[in-house]
Amino acid sequence: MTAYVKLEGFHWRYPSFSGSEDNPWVLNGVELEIERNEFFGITGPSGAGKTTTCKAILGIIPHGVKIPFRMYDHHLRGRVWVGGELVTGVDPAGGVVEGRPRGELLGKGVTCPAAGMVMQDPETQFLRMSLLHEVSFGLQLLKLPKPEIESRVREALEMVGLGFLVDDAEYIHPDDLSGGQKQRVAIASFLAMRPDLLILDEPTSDLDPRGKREVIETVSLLSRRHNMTIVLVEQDPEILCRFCDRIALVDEGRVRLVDGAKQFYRHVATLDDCGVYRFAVSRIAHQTHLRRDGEVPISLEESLSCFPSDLDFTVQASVPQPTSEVIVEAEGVEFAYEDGTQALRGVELKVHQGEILALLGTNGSGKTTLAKILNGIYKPTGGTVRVLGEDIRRRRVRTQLPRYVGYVFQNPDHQIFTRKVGDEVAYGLKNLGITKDELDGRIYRALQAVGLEDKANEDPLFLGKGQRQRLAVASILAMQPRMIIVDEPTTGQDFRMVSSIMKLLEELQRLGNTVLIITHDMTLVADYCHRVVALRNGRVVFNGTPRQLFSDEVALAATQLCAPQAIQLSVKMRETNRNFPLLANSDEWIKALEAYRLARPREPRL
Amino acid sequence: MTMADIASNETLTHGKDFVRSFLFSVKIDSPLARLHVLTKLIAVLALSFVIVRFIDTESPDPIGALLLILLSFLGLHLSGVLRWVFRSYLIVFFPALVGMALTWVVFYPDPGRRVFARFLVYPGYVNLGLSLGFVVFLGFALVWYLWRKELFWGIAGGIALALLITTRIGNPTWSFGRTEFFHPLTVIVSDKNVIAGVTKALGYGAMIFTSLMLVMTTRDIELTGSMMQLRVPYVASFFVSTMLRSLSLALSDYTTINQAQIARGVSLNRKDILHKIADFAYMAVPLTATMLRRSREVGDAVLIRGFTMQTRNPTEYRETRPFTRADLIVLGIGVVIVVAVFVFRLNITAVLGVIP
Repeated sequence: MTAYVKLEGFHWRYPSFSGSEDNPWVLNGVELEIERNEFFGITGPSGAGKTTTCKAILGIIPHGVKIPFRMYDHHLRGRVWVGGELVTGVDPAGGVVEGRPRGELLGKGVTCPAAGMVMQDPETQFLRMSLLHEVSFGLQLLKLPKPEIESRVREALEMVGLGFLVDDAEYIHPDDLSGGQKQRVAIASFLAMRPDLLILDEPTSDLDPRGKREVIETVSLLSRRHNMTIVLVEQDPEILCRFCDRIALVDEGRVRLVDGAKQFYRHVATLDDCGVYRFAVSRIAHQTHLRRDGEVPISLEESLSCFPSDLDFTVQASVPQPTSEVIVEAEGVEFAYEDGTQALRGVELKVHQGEILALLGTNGSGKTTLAKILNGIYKPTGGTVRVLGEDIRRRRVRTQLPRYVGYVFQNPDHQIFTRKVGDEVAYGLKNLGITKDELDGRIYRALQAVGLEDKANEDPLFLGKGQRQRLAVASILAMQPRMIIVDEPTTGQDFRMVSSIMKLLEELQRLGNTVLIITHDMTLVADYCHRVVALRNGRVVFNGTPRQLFSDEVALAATQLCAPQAIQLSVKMRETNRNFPLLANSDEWIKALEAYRLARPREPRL
Repeated sequence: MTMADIASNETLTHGKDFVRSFLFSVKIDSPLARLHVLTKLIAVLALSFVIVRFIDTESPDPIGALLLILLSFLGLHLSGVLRWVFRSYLIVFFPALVGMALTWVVFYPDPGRRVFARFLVYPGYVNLGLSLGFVVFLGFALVWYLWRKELFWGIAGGIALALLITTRIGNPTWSFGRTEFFHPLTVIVSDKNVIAGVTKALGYGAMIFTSLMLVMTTRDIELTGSMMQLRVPYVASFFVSTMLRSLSLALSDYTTINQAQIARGVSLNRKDILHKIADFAYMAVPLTATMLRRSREVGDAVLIRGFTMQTRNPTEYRETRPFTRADLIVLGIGVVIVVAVFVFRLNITAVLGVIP
C-alpha cells in the first residue's frame, strides 16, 4: 500500500441518543487515497460528510465517540489507514455478547500527534487561557524540553504572522485576539507540533480574502519545508486550485470525484449537480457553451484565449436604482470599547431606501461595530447617527430601533429562542405588540418567503444550518423592518445555500426593503450589491459601486480587498481593447455573450 | 504587505501593561500580580480570620477593621484596578454596608455605657384591622403596578403618599382584634451598638475588598499552575482550566445572544419583572444549544491535541511560579498579625486608646 492516507469503504453513522430510530449513514462508503506530502483538497456541499471524513482520518471517529452497547458493526464499516498503520477497522465477527457478535473495534485509534486538525471555529479550539500556553499545549503533552517548546512556539507564531505577539504571548487572553488572529493561533498550535499530516477544515472561513490566501500560502510553504501532508477542506475554488495537487468532491457521504486540481474544476456538470462553488469563468463558459480545446476554462489566462475580446455590450444596471430617500445618515461616528479599543474613527455613511449595500473591510476594520450601532445595540461614543431622521444617541430612539432596523446575526444558533419554528418567528412579533389576529398571517408569510412554511411545527434546533439561517432571516423579516442587516450570511455554506439566501434578500429589496450585507465574499458583492462601503481601521476608505471598486487597483489596494474573477477578466480584456465593456459579474458576462452570439450566429467559437 | 502586517492590523496588542484576571484585569508588574496565588490565598484567609476577631461584638476593634479595609483599597490601587471598576463595586457595596451597620444598631439593643437615644418601634403585638395609611399604600402600589407594570416605584410612591396623608390628617384605624407576636422592640442608640455596627460594616467591607483583590489580581493560568505545584493530577488541573475557558466562552455567547434578543425587540416596551424573567429564560435555548455544540467541539479539539485521560506529567512551561522572598515576607507578616491578634489578643483601638 503506497497511499499515506487510505479510507476503504468507510461507513459511519452517529449514535442516536433520542428515540429508537437509527441516525442515517453520514459516510456511505468513502473510498479515498492521499499520497504522502500531497496537498489534498476536499470540497462538497454543506452536510456532505467532509468534516466527518476528516475526523475518521484522525481516528476521533469512532475512537473518541461513545457507541451505545459497543455495537460497532451497527455504526461502522470499512477501514482507515494512516502512514501504513490501521487507524480504524471493525471485525464483524468479534465482540460477541450473549452469543451475538457486535463487532470488535480494531486499529491504533486517535492519530495525534502524528496528525492534527484545525477546525472551523477557532474560538472553540482555543483551549488555554493565554496565547503562549495555547501554542505550547500540544508540545507540553509531548513532554518536550522547555527550550525546545520555547523555540517552537516562537517559530510557529512567526510562521503565521503573529511573531509581533511573541513577547507578550503569556499575557494575551483569547478575548484579546480577533477572529482572524485566533484562526492563525489554531494553525500555529499544530504547526508547532510538526505533524506529518495536517487537516485544515475550512480554517479561514472568517478571514478576509487577502488574509485567507496568506494563511494558506504559509501552510503550503511549511508543508513543503517540513514534508507534511495537507488535507484542506474548502469551498473557494481559487484557494483549492491554487494550492492543491488533487481535489476530492464529497457528496452524500461518498467521494464522488477525485482529480488533479485544474482538471477537477472542468467537471462542470458534476460540480453543478452537487451545488458547490465553481470558477466564475467556468460557469460563464459552461452556460454559453464556450470551450477551449474542448474544455471549460478555469483561469483568467485560459479565459483570455477562450472568450471573444470584441464584445460590444452596453452594461445596464440590472438592479433598480435606490430611491433618493436617505434612511441612515452617519457623520463622524466614533466608537470605543470599554477596554479602550477604538473601533470606529469618524465614519461617514448614507444608506438609501431600497438599495443592497455591502459593508466590506478586513478583519477588525469595524464593520460589525458599525452595524450594531445602526441597530441600536451599541451607542456611538462620538458623532451623530440618524435613522429615519431620528438621532440614535437618544436612548428612547435607540431602544425602538429594532422596529425599523433588523439584524440577522452570523451564527443562527445565537438567535433561536424557542423550540418551534412558528413560535420563533412569533417571538419578535410579540415583542412588537402584534395582535393575535395579525400574528398567524405574518408568521406564514415570513416562513413562506424563506421556504419553511411546511416546517412551522418543527423544532428549529433539528433543522440544517442553511434552514436555521433562513429561519433567522424569516424571524427578522416578519418584523417588517425598513432595513435588514445581515452579518456574514455565507460563512461555511455551499454555493446553493448562499444563492438561496441571496435570492431571498434580493427579493426583499425588490419589495422596497433596504439590505445591508457584511461579507468577505467578493463574488456575492459583485453579483448582488448595488453599492459598497469599505472600512479600514475604523474609517471609510471607499464608497461607490462594486464595479468601481473592483476595476480600480488603487481602491483595491486601499481597501485590501480582491476583485472577483468575472470582473478581473473584463479588466484584463480592456487592457487590449479599451472599448470592452466592464462586466462586473457572471450574469452580465452571460448576457453579453448571448447578445454577441445573436449578433454573430455563425461565429465558429460559439 | 506581509502576513505579519495583515495580522497586526487586525487588533494591535503590542506592549501590554494589563493582563486579564478572573475579574477584569490586573497590571502585569503590580506587586500583587507578582505574588504567588497560594500566598495571596493564605494571606486573604488569614486576614479574614483576623477580621472575624476584630468584629467580635464583645471587644470590637474598629481601627483594626478600618486599617484592613484601607489595606485592601491600597492593594486594589496598586494592582491598577480601574477607577470605574472600583467605583461600581463601591456603589453596590456601600449601601449594603451602611444597611448592615444600621441593622446592628436596630437589632443589638445593648445600652453599653452610654445611651444616645431610645424609641419604641414595635409594641410586641399586631393590630388586626385596616388603617388609612395601609389602604393608601396598598391602593397606590396596586394601581401603579397595573398602570406601569413596575413594583419598585409603586411601593416607594405608596409609602410616600401614606406618610404624607397620615402626617396631615392622622391615621384613622378600624381595629377588630389584636394578637401578641414576638416581643416589644425598642431601638437603642448606644456607644456599644454604634461601635459594633460600624466595626461589623468595616470588617465585612474589608473581607469583600480583600476577596475582590484576590480574584482581580489572579489569572486563571496561575490557579492551574498552582494545582500542578501541589501535585494535583494533571487531568484534574486540566479539567479546571477547561472549565474556566468554557465559562469565558459561555460569557461571550451570552453577550451575543443578549444582543440578538435586543435585535428581536425584547427591549421595545417596558415590561414587568415577570416578563423580564421570561425573556431571560428564553435565553436558555440558544445558550444550551451553543454550549452543547461547543462541548462536543472542545472534546474533539482536546483529543486532536493529544490529551487523554491517561495523560500524566506534561512538561511544565511557564505555568508555575516559584515562591519568592516577597511571598515569604507577606506570609511572615500574615503569621505575625494572626499571632498578635489571636495569641496576644491585640486590639489596635484599645492600644491607641481611641475608645475608652
